[in-house]
Amino acid sequence: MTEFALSSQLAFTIVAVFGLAWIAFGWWLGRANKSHEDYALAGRNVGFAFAAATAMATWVTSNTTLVAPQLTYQFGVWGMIGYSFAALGLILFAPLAKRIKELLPHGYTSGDFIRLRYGRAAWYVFIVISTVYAFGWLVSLGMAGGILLQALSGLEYHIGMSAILLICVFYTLFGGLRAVIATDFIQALIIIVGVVLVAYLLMDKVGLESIHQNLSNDHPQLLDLLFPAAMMFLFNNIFFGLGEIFHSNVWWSRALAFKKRVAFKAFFLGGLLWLPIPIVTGFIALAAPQLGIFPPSPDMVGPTVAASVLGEVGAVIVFIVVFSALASSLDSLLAATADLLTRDVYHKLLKPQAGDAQLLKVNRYTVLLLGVLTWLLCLPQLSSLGALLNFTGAFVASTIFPILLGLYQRRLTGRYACAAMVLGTAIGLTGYFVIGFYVAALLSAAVSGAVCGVGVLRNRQPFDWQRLSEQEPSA
Amino acid sequence: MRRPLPWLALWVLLLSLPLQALSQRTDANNELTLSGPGVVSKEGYFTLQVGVPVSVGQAAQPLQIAMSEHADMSAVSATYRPLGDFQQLTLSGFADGSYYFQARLDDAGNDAAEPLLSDIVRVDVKHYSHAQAYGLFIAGALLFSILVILVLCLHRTRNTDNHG
Amino acid sequence: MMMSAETFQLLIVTALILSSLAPLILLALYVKDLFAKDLW
Repeated sequence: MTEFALSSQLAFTIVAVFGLAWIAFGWWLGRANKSHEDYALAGRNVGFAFAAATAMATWVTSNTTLVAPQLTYQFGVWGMIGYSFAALGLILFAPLAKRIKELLPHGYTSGDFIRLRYGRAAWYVFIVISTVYAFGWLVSLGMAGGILLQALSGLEYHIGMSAILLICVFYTLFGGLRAVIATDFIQALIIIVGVVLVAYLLMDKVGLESIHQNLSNDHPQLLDLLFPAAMMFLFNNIFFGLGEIFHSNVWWSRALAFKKRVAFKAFFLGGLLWLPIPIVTGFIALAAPQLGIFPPSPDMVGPTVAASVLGEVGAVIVFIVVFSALASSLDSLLAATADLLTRDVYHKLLKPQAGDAQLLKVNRYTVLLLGVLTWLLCLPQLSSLGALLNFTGAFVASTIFPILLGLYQRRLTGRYACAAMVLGTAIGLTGYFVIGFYVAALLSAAVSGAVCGVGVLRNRQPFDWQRLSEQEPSA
Repeated sequence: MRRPLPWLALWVLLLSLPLQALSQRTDANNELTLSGPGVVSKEGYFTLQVGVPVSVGQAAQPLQIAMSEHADMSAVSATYRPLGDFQQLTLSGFADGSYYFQARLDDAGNDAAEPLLSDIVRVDVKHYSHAQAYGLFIAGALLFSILVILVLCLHRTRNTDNHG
Repeated sequence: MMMSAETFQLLIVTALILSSLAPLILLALYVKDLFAKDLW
């Protein structure tokens, strides 16, 4: 019999208590939603505190709490430092967020922008990229929930996965973006306090000096600042993160929902607050060899070290932290993907004359539908954590330059933006399969950037920014 | 009358597959097995999998995996234990070289019994070349610098435009 | 090139201090927004 850090009953109680609290909170906040704009964009009036917290908490995903230790276990110190550079995505998005608020004061989604700025062809490509990425992330989060609950408590995968999905779907369904942002604030506090507590207790029990000593003697490679694989992964990871943030409606809907004067500083502060988190969550993996912990798979190293050093209290903290991290990303992704599908597919493609009440209804159904689809895709537990997300780097990195130049540079046309995304993705994917994962995002961004550069140089007809202010049919 | 034959062959084949799998499992279950990644590890980490015989009861001592840099396991440099009753473990932080691993199970209920030993598995570690790593690092740094400069310049120009 | 014990400790301790400050900053901002009626 495997001994689990937590009993299944305790784990299920934690999930049930937190889940019910969040659903009740979502319902309570959702009462203020009068229109589709309220529901999808929290009334476009989110203040600094909530804005900064939601930027930070959404970016703390299961990846930060599970993959940061995994990379540290695999690549040593560069694993955690490299991972923390993903904060650059949030920081570099700060100026873009301000620009988005200026250009699209009434915009809804990132898809809106692509359609108005680059036309239909680029928009179709963008929707495909967004959907592949959103589903990759949704499924990896859903699966991470099930796997984690099982690893820590022995709770059956399907029960854990279903419980986490159900909770997130329900409070997003009731409360919309307002509930997502408010729960993100609480989840951000829980996550930071939790990871700091675990790191502090571990430091107290094992000691940084002895961790370093042990690594120097037995695993010097993990302290190597010129670790080849880690150096190769570094910028690829940064471009992956940049692509995720620049294109995804998760971040655009936030930029559009924040107050105008808040957009820049919220993302900037969110990024700064996020920066040290992967180091704090990652370094505990370096204590594993000293403690004689050799995990069955590298993604389990973080929770295993915390649970085995800190006993049941540690396991409870880790459990709550990872559960919060999962929920804070899953809810955002559900809400933002549902907005994208409602606005871009239903409203713009299928039913342009739909009124506000109908859009609100469709948005809610879409949240539910996404939840069910994700649940179905998570059921067979197809691949190990992260495998699904890996190759999406090639997709999302191809959008970095088209988004950036589209927001500021009038000479990039839809034809070149579309070619940049298609070629970038194709060559990035080829690189992924022919060379290795560490070139996918890098190649994709480089090729797409080059195509955009040619586009800017060759075009003589600048875009008219006025075309972005689309007239809404009165609801 | 000729047609049923291929179908018959197919049925025989299909029916025999589970039986083959079953018999392989029975064989494998009588001995302690260890398998490595099967390919050269380029990142210095790899996963080892152990197959523990079904016949081994609760009395068996925890599974140990010994590591040596010699093919005959003459000087054991480290021993590792999988977590709980997981039959798999991931090791990391290995430098270039060849490493040999052997799993070992002692029967605690019977001191006289010989310990069960698996085959010796060789794992080769050969990190990516530094030239390749630096090349990609520099290419990434260049592209990233271009992006950062572009963001800063575009943001600044736009702000001046708006105020002007 | 190995990371020295001092750098290692400095890195982890700095990250830990910065992370500890984060909840305080967020709570302070929340209180400020709350009193300024600027939360939403």
